[in-house]
Amino acid sequence: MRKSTLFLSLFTLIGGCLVSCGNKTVDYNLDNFLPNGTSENPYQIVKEPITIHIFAPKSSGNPEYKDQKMFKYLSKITNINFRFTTPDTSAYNNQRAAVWSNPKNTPDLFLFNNPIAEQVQYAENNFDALTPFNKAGYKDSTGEVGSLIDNYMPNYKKLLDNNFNIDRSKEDAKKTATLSNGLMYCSLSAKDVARDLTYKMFINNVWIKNVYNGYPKSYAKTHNIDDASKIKTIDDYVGILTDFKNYDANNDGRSDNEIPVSSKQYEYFRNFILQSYGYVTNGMEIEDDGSKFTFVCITEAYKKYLKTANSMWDAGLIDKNTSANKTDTTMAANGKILGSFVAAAPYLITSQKEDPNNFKEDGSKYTYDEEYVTVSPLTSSYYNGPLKQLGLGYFRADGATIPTKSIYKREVARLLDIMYSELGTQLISYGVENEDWTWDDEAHTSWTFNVPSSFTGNQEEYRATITPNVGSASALYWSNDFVGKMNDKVITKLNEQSEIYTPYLKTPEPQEYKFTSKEYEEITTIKASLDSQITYYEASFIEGNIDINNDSNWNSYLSTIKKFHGNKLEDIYNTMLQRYK
Amino acid sequence: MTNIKEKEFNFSKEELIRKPKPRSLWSKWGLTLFLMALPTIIYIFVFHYMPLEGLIISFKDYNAIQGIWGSPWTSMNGFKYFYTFVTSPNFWTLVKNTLVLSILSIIFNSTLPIIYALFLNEVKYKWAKKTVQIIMYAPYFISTVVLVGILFILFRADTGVLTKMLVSLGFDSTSAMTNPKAFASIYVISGLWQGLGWWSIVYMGSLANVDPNLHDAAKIDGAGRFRRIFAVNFPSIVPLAIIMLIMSIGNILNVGFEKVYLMYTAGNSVSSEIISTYVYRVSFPTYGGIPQYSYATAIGLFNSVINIIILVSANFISKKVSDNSLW
Repeated sequence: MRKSTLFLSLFTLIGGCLVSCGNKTVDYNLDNFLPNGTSENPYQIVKEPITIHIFAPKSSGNPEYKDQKMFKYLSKITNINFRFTTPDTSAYNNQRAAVWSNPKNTPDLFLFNNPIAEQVQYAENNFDALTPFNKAGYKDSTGEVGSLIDNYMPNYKKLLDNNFNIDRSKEDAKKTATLSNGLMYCSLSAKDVARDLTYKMFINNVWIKNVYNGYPKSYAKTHNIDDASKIKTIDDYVGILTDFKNYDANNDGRSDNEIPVSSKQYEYFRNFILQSYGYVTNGMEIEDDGSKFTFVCITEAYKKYLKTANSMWDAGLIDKNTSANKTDTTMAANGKILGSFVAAAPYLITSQKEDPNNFKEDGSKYTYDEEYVTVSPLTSSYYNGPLKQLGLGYFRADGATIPTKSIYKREVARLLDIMYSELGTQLISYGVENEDWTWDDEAHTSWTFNVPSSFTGNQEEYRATITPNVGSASALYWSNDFVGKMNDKVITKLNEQSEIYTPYLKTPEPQEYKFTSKEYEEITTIKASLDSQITYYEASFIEGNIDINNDSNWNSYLSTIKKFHGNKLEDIYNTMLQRYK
Repeated sequence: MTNIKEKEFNFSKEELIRKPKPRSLWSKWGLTLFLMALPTIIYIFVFHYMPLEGLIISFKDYNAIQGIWGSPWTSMNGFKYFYTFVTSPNFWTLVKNTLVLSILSIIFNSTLPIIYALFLNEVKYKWAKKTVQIIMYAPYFISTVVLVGILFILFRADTGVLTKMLVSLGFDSTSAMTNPKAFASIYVISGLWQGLGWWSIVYMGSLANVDPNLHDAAKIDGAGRFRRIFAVNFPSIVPLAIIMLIMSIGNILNVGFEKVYLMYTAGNSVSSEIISTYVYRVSFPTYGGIPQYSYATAIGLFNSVINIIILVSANFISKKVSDNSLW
């Protein structure tokens, strides 16, 4: 090849690349937008197809969003094509920051996982980066858009007005979504399915009956506890676990192989035990009267929890692998001999195989997972106030944001509104009616998920072909009104068992309170150092590497927390709270 | 035949003086070589030099909207985040933990592969040598995630094989993975198990090039096998070992994030919190926080500067002491 030809080819190639990197300018046509759909298709958003760029996190194992049934269906009914940028968790923050540096590549929609701190930072500095959902008279380059909620999101507006049918004293949707300037830059992600609102402590109810019936000197017998529902105090709970340890609770002919309680690290175990001393977390927690935030890990209640946990450790009640259990899978290694554990569902830990040693009244064998029920929140001699259970929150202001650079705000707002509608909540949960699931009766009291018999994976793997909810738990509205009606024996039982916690849920850091961006930064910096100290001391106190009964050790711990700016953290929270009073 | 030969080689004097072809600019400037090197140059420039621009955010309060150049400078003449890091309460703990892991790794990872290579080189039978080599290389190809998973299984409190061995030696039955005192040992030993065979390759290659005449001469002088190992083989790989050591020292504060983070448990957190895991925590805060890119970059820059200083010092010392150096 002649050299001149080679050079020419090289330049052509580079030039071509540069040209193709440029984006075409898209003119906005307001007439193409259908605010109310058409008479044939109320979900249609545009007359002629447009393409909307969606930025959303994706679990690395899940199918591409463009291949998921939910987005395909939405595209079909709205006449909108989707282009996705879907970084996985590890790259999410970096890619999210990077899209702003190239205005031509800014998405039209950040779907899920929108940090509240980011919204505050942009609003405080007047960056004009995110579109307010509720600003009357709002204008952009395409003309007056107005309030997106009032003009284009009737379903979402109705949900906000009705607080998603959640008692406002529990959590207030509008307050959660609104920043101090009165604007909402992000739509909410909402959930009200009982099983997803808290961590659940399970206990083997069959074992309780076994020790109650078989051992007259057992705690269960002497305190008349023949069912988990009769466990009311931390002493009862520890007493039953001690029975599990001392007797052949699982009926296998050995009294030395039961592990009374296990957990995925102490975090999950702690939340449950600590509740019996009046708090639901070891971090910052608002007092019941809303007067102040308390840094729980330096309170007397926390010390009581540590002492109880330490005595449980010394008595051999706690699984020695707890601190090293990082996943459900590692905890499940001992699943069949666990008396009590914290998990999303028993079958994840115990398996659903038949237990050869325990029989139902009709003579059939229990499956291992069937033996477990939830333990309700407890009290103690130290705390006998209202029952408390850690609440993960009904609302978060992280659902969806629309960058101001998008010219398709109206279209995106309507798309989001569909996702908040009955159809949308069904789509993101389990897919398309009569294809992926079907109502069982005319009254719509339950429905059945249709996993094709030809599908070789499990139910969740099939659901991952439908919705981004799998793996990420992302959903704009995870609605109990639909999800709670699933006709599945295991899920139905899990829902029922989870409902015992619902009346007592407490969110330690209510989402309606927002910090300033400077405060968010300070909190991040402090917690980056402090958190590992707290978890280290917790494990050391529980496992007896540091004696919790020695006051000088406790004082040394308090000094360390202070040195790592624990007190400053508490001040930041309470300074923020004062702004709301 | 004779006629043909005579004809073939019967050149005039002018014909025998070969006229050089006029050199084109292409070959005169070595453009062919340049074109061959171009992809690498572009790669180095794009992925190693261009990102250096990003270091500027360590002196700024970076936010994504205003970008690298538009974000405001920090207080303290741009050094706010450096000050925040060196005055943070766990600064010395982070440095100490990082140095402990790094120095132990350098000591063991630099010396044991040399010893291993020297002895393996003495194995007489080729098949035995190859077999041992393959067995020793194999763990290198296990991913870090799998390696750490294996460690957690081996050290399970109830069923772990290594825990049972430790218990029989009088240790308690909790998992060593939760023991802060055991963290560095597990980190280094598991690293050695994984990498010893691989790291020795370079030394094996170097030993293969040792002149056999040197061994013959040593034999004539009455040197035994061990004497020859230390008098002939060892000196031949010293320059390489020093170069490798200097390069390791140049990364002294860059202990890999992945393995330490995966080995982290609540119980060992006072030992397993190192600079790179701390950077991760400030970069990826728990729910709702702002990723602190400026702070994380400042820590990274601080690390790099210290590493460069140590690298230059080590190189200078090596040059003075042994005449071996990177430059």
